[in-house]
Amino acid sequence: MKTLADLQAIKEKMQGQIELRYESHAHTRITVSMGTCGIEAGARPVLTAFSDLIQQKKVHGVLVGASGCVGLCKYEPVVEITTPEDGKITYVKVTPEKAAEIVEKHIIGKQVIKEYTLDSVNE
Amino acid sequence: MDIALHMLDLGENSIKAKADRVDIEIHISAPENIISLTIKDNGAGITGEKKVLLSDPLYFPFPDKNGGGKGLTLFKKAVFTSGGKFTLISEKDKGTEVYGSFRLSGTRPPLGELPEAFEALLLSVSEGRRVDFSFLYRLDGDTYKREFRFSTENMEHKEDAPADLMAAARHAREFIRKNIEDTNKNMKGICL
Repeated sequence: MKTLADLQAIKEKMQGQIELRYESHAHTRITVSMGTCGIEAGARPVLTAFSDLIQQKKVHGVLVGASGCVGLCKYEPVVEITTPEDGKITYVKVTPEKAAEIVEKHIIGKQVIKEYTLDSVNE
Repeated sequence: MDIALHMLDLGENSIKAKADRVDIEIHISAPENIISLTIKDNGAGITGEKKVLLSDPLYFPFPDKNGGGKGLTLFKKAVFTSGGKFTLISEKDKGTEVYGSFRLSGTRPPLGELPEAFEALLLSVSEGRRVDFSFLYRLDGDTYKREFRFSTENMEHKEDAPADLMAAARHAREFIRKNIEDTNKNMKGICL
């Protein structure tokens, strides 16, 4: 490394790699709310269902996880899904059956199921 | 809520308390007529008034605004309903140990699905964080016991392959299920 131009060249080269890394961060995330309220309402079987379905169907780039109480206790089990396409969608009163539908339509088909979202029950 | 779900709930408390070691024990003993759950962590500990109130066996507080104390209170209630024992030992920055026993033949919640609850516990650790879990399943004192150790370090989350973490958690579930089934063969005539 000798001159400013060299530094510039290094920067340009690294920039490409940094963007690549950001790109790979943009995966889909399924977060099941698992506070005491969620667990009591049946969030555990929902989490198991999501984890199994994603692995059985070999959907890549999807991370299933659990979080604490999100403050929507009366709508539990609550599942938040963040996708690069639709941003964050909050599904409420999810069951393992609804989980299968959500994986099929939302995760694979990229179609948000409006009837199950928080927005629809709030209206 | 069954005992497995109490385990998940209290285990999550430990994770929230920034513990990096969580020891869980389930002990089932027909001669002593108990089934007990112990969760010990090295997290932040419960302090002040909250600790005094939660340790008091007959105090059932209303949960505060953040929902704090709900899980422990539910567990304590379940224990007392069954005529069991509850203890809470906690020290600031050293950790917390919660113990609750139920009468095996009394009115108590069912044991529930331990492997699934443990998988859910592993999945609730945020990626990149290391938590060492140990899970001890004992029957009749030390006659039959299985101990499982899992560290989320080995299940490190990779950006392009998040499935690794889930696969590891699922593997843990299957492993525990198989071992618990094997252990339970030694126990006859007990309804869990």
